[in-house]
Amino acid sequence: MEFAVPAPSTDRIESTIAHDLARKAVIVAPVLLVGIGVWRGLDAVLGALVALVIVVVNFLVAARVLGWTARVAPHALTGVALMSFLVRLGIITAVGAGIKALDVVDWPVFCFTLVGSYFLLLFWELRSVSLTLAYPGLKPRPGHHEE
Amino acid sequence: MSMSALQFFLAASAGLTGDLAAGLAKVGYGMAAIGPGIGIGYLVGQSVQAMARQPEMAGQVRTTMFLGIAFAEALALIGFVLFFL
Repeated sequence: MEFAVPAPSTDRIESTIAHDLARKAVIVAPVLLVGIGVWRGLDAVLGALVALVIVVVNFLVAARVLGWTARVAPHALTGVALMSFLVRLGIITAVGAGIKALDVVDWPVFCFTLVGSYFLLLFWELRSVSLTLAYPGLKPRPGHHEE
Repeated sequence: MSMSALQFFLAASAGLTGDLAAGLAKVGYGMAAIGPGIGIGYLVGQSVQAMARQPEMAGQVRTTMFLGIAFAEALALIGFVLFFL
């Protein structure tokens, strides 16, 4: 299968999205951690912090792997996406099992932060991306609020 | 008195021993990873086809693909959380 060379603007599109997600996580993290700390204490803060780090690293690694494969070997994209999904899920499971075995964090807070922050960041990014794709000339910028 | 399927399931679940419940949780986690796997395979396959048909749209296709993969993976994360909880 022959693929044309993609436009230069698409070179690192996955990494751009993942870095934007990480930037949003940095914005959300202080509020989230302080709120959880007041509510459940230091163990919960640690659990939420670890969950946030896992979510962000997962996005960054997925973006790096998929972006590299899409540029270098698009015909291998399906296989790489599936294998990377399995490997990342295995690593997250191993880290989660280790954390649970060590019993150093508030486990329910860790679990709910993992899923909650994942969805929060994803929907937030989806909104930005949808606006960008729908109105390419009006890309959302920091501090720009649309009606 | 007849027992509904849900009542039967709850009664059976409550009576499970620790090992059996842990084993069932592992099976459930494995099954929770199957759905996202199918979804990601289908999604990426369609994206590759779209990029082959219209290379000039590769940017938009890859953007949508990446977000779609992230959403599919969220299902596996939910399975992970339910497995450990």
